[in-house]
Amino acid sequence: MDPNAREVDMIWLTAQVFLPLAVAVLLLIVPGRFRELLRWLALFGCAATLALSLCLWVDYYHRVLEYRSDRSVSSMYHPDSRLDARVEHQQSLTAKPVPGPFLSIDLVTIRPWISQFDVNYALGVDGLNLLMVILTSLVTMLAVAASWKIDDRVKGYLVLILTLESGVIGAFLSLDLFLFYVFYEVMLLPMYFLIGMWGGGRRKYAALKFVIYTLAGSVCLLAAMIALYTVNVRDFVDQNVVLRQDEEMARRDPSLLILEAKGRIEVHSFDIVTLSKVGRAAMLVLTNQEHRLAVRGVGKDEPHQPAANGSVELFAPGVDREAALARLKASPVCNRTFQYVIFALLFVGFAVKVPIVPLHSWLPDAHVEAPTPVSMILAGVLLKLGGYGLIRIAFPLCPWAAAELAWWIGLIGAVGIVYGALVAMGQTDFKKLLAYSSVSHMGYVVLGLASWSSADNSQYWEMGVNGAVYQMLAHGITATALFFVVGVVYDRAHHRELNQLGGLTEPMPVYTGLSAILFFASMGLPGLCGFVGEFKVMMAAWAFSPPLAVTAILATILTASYLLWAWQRAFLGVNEKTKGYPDVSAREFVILLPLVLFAIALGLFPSVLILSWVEPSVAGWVENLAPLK
Amino acid sequence: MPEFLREVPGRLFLVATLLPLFAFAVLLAAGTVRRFRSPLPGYFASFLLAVAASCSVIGLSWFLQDAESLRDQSKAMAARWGERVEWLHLGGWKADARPARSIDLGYRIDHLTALMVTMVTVVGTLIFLFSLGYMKDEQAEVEDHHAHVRRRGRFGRFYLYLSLFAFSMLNILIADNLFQIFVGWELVGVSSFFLIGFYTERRSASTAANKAFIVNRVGDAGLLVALAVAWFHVGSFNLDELFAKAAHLPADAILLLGLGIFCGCAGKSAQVPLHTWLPDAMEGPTPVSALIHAATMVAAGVYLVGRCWVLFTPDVLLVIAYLGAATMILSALVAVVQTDIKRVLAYSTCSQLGFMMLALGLGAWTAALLHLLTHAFFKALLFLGAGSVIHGLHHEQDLSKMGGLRRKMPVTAYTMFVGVLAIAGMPLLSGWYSKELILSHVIGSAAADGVARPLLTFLPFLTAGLTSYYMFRLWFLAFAGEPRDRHLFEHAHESPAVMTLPLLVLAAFSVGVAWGWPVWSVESSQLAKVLHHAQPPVLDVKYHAIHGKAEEHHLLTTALALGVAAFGFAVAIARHRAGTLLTPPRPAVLAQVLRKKFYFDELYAAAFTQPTVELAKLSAAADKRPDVRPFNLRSLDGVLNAIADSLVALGTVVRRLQTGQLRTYILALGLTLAAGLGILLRLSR
Repeated sequence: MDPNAREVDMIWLTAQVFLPLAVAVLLLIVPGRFRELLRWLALFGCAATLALSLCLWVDYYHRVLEYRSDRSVSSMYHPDSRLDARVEHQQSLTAKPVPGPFLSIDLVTIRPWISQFDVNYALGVDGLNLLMVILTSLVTMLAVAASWKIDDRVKGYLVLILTLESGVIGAFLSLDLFLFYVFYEVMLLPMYFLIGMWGGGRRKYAALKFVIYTLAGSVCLLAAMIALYTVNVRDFVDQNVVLRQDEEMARRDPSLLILEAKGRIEVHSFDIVTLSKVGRAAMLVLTNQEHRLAVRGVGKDEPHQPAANGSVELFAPGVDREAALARLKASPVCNRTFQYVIFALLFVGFAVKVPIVPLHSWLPDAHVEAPTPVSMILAGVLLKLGGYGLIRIAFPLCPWAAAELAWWIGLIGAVGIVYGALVAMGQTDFKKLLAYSSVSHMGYVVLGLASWSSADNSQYWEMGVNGAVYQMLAHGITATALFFVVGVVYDRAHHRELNQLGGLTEPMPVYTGLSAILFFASMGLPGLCGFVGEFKVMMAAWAFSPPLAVTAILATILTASYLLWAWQRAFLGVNEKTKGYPDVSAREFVILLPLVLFAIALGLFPSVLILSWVEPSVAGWVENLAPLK
Repeated sequence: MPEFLREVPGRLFLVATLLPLFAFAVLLAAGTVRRFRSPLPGYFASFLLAVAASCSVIGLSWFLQDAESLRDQSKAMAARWGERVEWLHLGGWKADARPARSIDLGYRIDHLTALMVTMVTVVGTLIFLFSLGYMKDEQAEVEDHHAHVRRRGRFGRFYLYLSLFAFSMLNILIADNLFQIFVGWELVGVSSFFLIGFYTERRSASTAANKAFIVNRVGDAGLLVALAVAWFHVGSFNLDELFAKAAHLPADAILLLGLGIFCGCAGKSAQVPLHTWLPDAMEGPTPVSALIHAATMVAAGVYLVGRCWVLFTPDVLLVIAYLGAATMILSALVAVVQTDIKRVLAYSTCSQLGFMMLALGLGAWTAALLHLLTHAFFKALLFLGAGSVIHGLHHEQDLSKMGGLRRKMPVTAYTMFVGVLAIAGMPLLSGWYSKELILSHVIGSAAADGVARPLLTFLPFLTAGLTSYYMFRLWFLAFAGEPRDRHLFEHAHESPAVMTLPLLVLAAFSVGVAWGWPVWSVESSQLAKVLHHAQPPVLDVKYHAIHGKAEEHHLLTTALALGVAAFGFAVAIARHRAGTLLTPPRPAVLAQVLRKKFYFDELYAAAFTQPTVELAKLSAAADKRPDVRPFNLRSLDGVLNAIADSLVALGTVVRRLQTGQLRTYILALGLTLAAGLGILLRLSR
């Protein structure tokens, strides 16, 4: 029996990624006149995706985290449950002469996809991306529910949304740069059409702008990716791979001596875990800490315990340390310019998505023109890809440049917070205001990530990264909900001018109540979801740089000001025009309520609900990077 | 007693805190299901708060017994009267690093907390009861005369906000860590936002609510800085740990910590320069003003300064004292010219809070917190009395239209008179004890350091005189003399029992809450003795000399305090006789300055609000202009678009070359070829 057949988690992960696409294909078969059927099918597909992601969560929680965790410690962190440990294990299994047997419970799958270019179909789950996947499937489901009123070309619309969902989930789960890039591009096209065809008055302009910005970002990613592919990673991969290439070379050219061939072998990879090891090794070399570089022991039970003498075990087992070090130092990856350029490319690539000032200009246009459900997805999900990319790719792959530039990144984050808040305050369009508030809120994510203080204070950095992740989640919930809130009032008023709204408390009490909770959640009121992330980021930023922290702290005043001002203009006062508006319908209520409940629950029980299973992944991430500085 | 209380009786206070939260949650859920028209939410919330009040009264007496019997067993006390749970786990791959591994929530009861919780729940219950009558109109459709609309009643919503408010305040009081205090701080802010802006139709109300919240956020930002300093330098938010490690902190850290905490307190307790929100907050329903300005919100700042006293360096204490003094005198002066009954009380509150802050700054810890407690009772009484007047006059708040009301509403009038006497410092009433203690400390410290800071010595007495004057002025204008508005007077009526009963109870408290035996001795006040147990021990040592001096000049203090109060009363009665209580003070400039409240609002508008709004508009314009003209380089979006536009233009130019005419192409080809050949030839030569 083929041992590969037993790898059940590959099926799970693949299903998670491609289920929405399958539903989209199914929708294509259904004739377009059965609108109601199409909608229900799409909703069902999204619900199934959400259910699948929750199953994945149960699997991850029980079989990856709890199974390995030490019950005497309150954290579920364990070196073996870390994503890179699981990936390494899987890689060594793949590299064997006879691959396998693969584990079905490690939630990592790696299969060769395009062998000529060492591209793998590599998917894997850890707390970070699982959180984002759950958020994505939740938000997409609610967005589909919110699309009930779209009557124009329903079929195409739903197909595009489902395709988008597949792309996003794929990007979150992929562990291979190339695969990531493919999914990243897959998202682009549906979004273009969704804005360009179902959008408002200036939809073409907005859609084109969105595409150009995103493409510019992806070009940066592509360039960085190719540059990283040129790096020789032979000392960081399982030595079976080197051996096999060695044999192959010798077979092709019998005149070569085995030893000679071995010296010439180059192994290239798109694998994120491997490349991040190279990045870390390069950082040690560049900071004159090469004595800490060590070869990983074979068959050690706990490969990731930070060794007492400060050595960092990055070289694969069986590698000759001196030769590997010499090769590493000779390679361009240990060049400062190379590191800076790659990091800048990756950072800009993701900064467009976050979006980071001044690359945010597409966001307000896209939001204003996009229909409500698309705005929900855009704010709730797509922006998270930027932050996720920074965490998963930009920082680990170029840690040296990230550490060198940490203060500047933090500054960019802090500037984004203040700038976004100020511009939001100057808006009169409800949706634009929210779009800029997204810019402001995502600034906390950047600041949290950047607060990379010295190794002694790395606990604070961990807090900042945790805060950044939580802030992404919280923003995903509140921004989605608030865009829907705007959509509800737009359905009634057919405009979004804050100055012409007002007086909604009386005709729409339930709507006002729910919106109030969301407004304050967005403002970061304790007890609601926005607070946890912001608070952690502020506390972490203080340890990194008090001026940046003070900026972030003072920005809370601005945040309160613009949100309360908007609240006053949109909801309070007396307005003859809004008097007859009906309160939220059952459908609208059903969409808003879960988001509101999440906003409350995530604010009250952050540790129990989320951080208990996300924080181990963050701890592993920080443990990789923090000791290098 | 149930099992879970016997081991840890501190849970009584926890229950008292969580009951209003429960009421809030139930009312919130009920709000989405159906809209209440019945008085049920009011009864429900009031009942729960009454239960909370009884819990805390039982808890208080239990605690006092325990404190007696377990006098020397601080560990046992701590175990019985405090608990904590982990709220936010922070992981940590390194075990040895500084910050704690988790952020905890917890409570810890000491004498101060026990007294404060009891005071807040008792006064709160009375205010909740009073509101049942005051807000009765809200049970049906309401005609809002200010905003000229008919709207649904908001009775349930009112109690929803009140309950959240009560919970947040109690949360601040029982918290054993700075983080939880911050949480309560913000929640108090948001519930006051909703309560102040309760009449959402009125623009003035929603603006006042915004102002209150934003000014409070300024204070909260300071508190956040303090939290960050604590987290970085101590690695914990726990108050006991902070107190223990405060001495070892670097000088700038401890300074920043103290200033940050005080900034938060200044925001909540409306101290100069963050005091501007409080008078505007009078836009809310009157029971709200009583709750916010008497018992709870503004008390929180003074409470926290008292609680964190050991974290303040002498410099910070001096700042606190001076800002307190400034608040005290400025607000008292403004109160003198106000004609809105609630605004007089609001400024009076400001002034009294400044008085407490000054006392804390000078080290009169027990006296300041005693004044906080007694003030809560008589100020709640005064506000509810004002509410009763407003209710009886069908929402008229202008003192210049009142007069002679004691004949129409005797209960209100005479209970309020008790309140006026108490705040003016009439001997044997509760206010006298606390005021006297503070003033004797002021005299003591002046004597000890030879009047080194004359302002801090002189201003409290001046304020005492002013207080006496403007409070009697208020009472005379409202209740004495002849009615100035006949029509209003004819329709005035005494409030129902549900409103007068709280007044009577509060009046009783205002008289006797600070009594001890012998009654005529300030030093023997029972409440002060209990509070003294909670005072940080370091104070006794530090201010020993001052206490001695204060004892020495005891009689002088009493004479001075009574003298200025009597003088204030005399002026008030003289002007009442002459009918000049409403005439503005003599130099017109002074009257103008006072009426404009020292131009703080105008100053802030010019210095902060306007520039921020302008900056916001400017950045909005700089980010994106609404018109999309090509090559508009004055905005970020324009610059970026200009790049795109120039690419398009380039494309257009290049496209012109592609004429599609074969002749042109061949010509170009030929020329290029020739040129190329020429270059080649030249190079090969």
